[in-house]
Amino acid sequence: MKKNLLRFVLPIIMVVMLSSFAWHKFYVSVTQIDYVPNKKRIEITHRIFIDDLEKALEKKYKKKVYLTSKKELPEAEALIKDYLKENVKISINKKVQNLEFLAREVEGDVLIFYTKIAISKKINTFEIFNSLLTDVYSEQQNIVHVNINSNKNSFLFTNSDVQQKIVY
Amino acid sequence: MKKSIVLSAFLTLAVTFGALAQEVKTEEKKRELGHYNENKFRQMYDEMATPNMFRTASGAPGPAYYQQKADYKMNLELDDKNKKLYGSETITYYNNAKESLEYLWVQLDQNIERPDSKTPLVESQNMDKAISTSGFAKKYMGSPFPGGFNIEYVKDAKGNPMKYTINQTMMRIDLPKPLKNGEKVSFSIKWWYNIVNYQEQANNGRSGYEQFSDGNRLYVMAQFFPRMAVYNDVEGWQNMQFWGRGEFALAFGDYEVNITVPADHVMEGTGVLQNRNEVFTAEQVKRWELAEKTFDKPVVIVTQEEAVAKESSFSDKKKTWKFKAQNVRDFGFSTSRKFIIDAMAVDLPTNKPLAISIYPKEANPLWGDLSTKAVAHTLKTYSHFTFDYPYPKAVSVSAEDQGMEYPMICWNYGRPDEKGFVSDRIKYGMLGVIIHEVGHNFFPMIVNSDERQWSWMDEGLNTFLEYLTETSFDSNFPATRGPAKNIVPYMKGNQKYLEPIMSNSENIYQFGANAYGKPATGLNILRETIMGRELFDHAFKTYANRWKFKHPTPEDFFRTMEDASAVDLDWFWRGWFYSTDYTDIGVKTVKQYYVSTEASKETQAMFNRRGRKISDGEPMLYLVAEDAPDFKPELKKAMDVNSVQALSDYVNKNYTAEEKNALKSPKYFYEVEFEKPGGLIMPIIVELQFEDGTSEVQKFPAQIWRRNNDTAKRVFATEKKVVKIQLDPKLETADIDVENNYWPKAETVSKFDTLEKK
Repeated sequence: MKKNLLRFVLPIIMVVMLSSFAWHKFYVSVTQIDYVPNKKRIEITHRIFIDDLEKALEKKYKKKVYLTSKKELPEAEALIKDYLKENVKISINKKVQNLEFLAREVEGDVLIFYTKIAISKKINTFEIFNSLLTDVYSEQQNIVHVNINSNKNSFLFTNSDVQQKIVY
Repeated sequence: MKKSIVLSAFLTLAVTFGALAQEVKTEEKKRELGHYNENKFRQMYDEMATPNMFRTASGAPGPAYYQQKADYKMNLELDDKNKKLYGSETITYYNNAKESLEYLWVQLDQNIERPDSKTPLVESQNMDKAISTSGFAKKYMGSPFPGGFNIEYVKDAKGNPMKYTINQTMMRIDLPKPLKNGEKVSFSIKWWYNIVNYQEQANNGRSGYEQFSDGNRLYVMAQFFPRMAVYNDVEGWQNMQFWGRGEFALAFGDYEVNITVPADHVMEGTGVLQNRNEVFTAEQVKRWELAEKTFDKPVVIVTQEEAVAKESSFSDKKKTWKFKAQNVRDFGFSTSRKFIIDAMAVDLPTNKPLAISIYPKEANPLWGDLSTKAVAHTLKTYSHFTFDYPYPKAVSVSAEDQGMEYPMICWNYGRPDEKGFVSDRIKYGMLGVIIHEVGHNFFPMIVNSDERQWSWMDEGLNTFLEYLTETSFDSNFPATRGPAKNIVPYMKGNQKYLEPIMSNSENIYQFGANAYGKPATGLNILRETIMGRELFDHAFKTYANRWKFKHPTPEDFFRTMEDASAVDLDWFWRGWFYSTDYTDIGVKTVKQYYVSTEASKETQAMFNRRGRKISDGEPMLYLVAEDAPDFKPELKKAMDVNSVQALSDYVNKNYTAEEKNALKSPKYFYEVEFEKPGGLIMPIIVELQFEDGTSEVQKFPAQIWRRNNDTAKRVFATEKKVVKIQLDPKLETADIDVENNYWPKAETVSKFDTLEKK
């Protein structure tokens, strides 16, 4: 699907062109981040369209991965973890955190990823880097909702805006 | 009555004294200002257009309703080698409005591909920090595609040139004298344009060609001719520019179209083919005739072998295909050397249309197996919920990266990959898009709403029926747009990125969720939770039938749904369609009460204040909360009617033995307070779970919020002990925060808890 297209078309074209049927052609991922102090963890849920992620994996690793199909490559999960690690980074109190991958789940045409950060200390600063899929779609938008210390913030990450910092 | 008067008089006094006492201390305290009617159940007189003779208050076309008509006669020629389309057309336009028209507006949608198109200029851009060399060359070094209409002439019926002015995608044709009510005018336009490769060059990818590596092209042609804009009682001329997203507003009319293409092409288009014998072989014509009588499975009309045999012929000869279509709002066609065709008849009570698919060999075996069956199932299901599909056929065309609808014909993506593999995602994606685009025949091709203004009117209604069609086609269909819970991530999103559904297509941030998902979900909630299937289905069908082959507005839909069901839905429309409010309803408190024959001190005091004695009148029972100051621990037990002397005396005295048998025997009493942190109104759905593992669901209509928009209380008297209360147990209301849906506030086991345990 639109293999040639993706690399060089003006950003707007894709947005306009497939607007007639498919909402997922809007290149949006949604990430929810919740700090749950009594469970000593930050819960992170990513919702990413399967075909978009597949495209990104195929571009980066130069092979077809048949994501979520019965022909899915055995190493697909490792590739996904690797891709997530590279494109989502979180620092808390100026320290880079380890995101532990828990599971993935299919919901319609969306893949949901559950990751967590084990943490129990007070969060003073929270920095997030998110460049998911911006390597394949220049118009990719990543919406991130952060709920920490009863403060709710939402951010929009784009190709040119991949980093945000919250000071509590 | 009397009692409450006394009480309220007392309260008034108390309040007055209190207020006086306070005033001494805070002299400057300002009186609270008044307000307009902010009740969420107020009728929508302010938001909706006033009913009139064109459109009635019941949502039906009124006695003065009119619509314009535009008939087209066109001769087209495709130059496959040079990728150009040439056309000359005669439009006959009928003015049915009472008023005269001084000019006509004609849509030039192809102009969105002009080098000076404004569509690319209204988008914000980000710098691509990494870009391929080919991308760089194209973006920074290339020239724009030389697309858009080249208008050769606009002439009146006598052949004299007419004055016209082009403003981007709209052309005004000035009439020498005003076109009066009941008059018609004919004029001719000659034009040509360069056809765009819709995957690589287009500003708007709804039409153009797909290039195959074998040198062939597959053309999906639409918005290819100058088309009349809609003139009506709501917009006057609907001449809003075509920016790319808001689709089309088009008048109904009759079409006669002759299309000349290379002789080895196979084609499908809007309408009935007039010269089948000239363009198909005798054998193929026989197969057509068989398909028209075959209701159980598709009949292949042009086989894969026949299609493949022509792939390399690149004939220099020409053939003309002749189509006629009646009462359609547009015309589209698709042509290629590569097409295979199959078709089957669909048995509807009043019509036997053909379900047809055309596709290149690259789409097989997926398309041969499934496309036509999906078309047939869609026609049947949609007809059931609206009206019998009135057109003679519905065609599904295989075109990559597409999903676009025209009368009787649509383009749909989804093919096996180069190794022939079909993932479930491709299979269901292709089926979903076929169902969706074929479904568009009903909305907006026949129920002809204004897509340029309101995308949701066709996309939302169509997505709603698409959901019902998908789940009935295949019970495992991963249909995501419909169930209430699936819209939650959108509705709980940052308000900065949300608009009401009642927003113009071009001004919407998350278009798919806004114009497709949310309205479809709203209709699903009405059908399943608020109105019930019987009332909803009748009202929805009434709307479809009232407005088929007409131009409805949002108000016509909203009003008909109420008019045909006697369900007041203004509160729902206002919340779900006119605002970005979300649902959040929770359990605030649960208080258990016990039955006593002794009045608590508090109750005695209340009686005293009212100047009444407890011994007056009939014996009383008292419901005492556990946290009452003089609560006696021995009260804390299930009530037994027989052990409450006064009550059993009353029952024995006043009921026959038969009546007594029918009496309930409540044992537990709860007062539950609900809170509503969300702005949306919804029914309260309460599941009471009992200690023996059984449960019971009670539903309180949305109107429970009509006088108090923040909290509501209900009393439950049960025969079994309640151990758990859960609101909206089946996730029917799109409640964005279910943590407050439980009593007792159970430690909600999150997804993460279960995952961590693994």
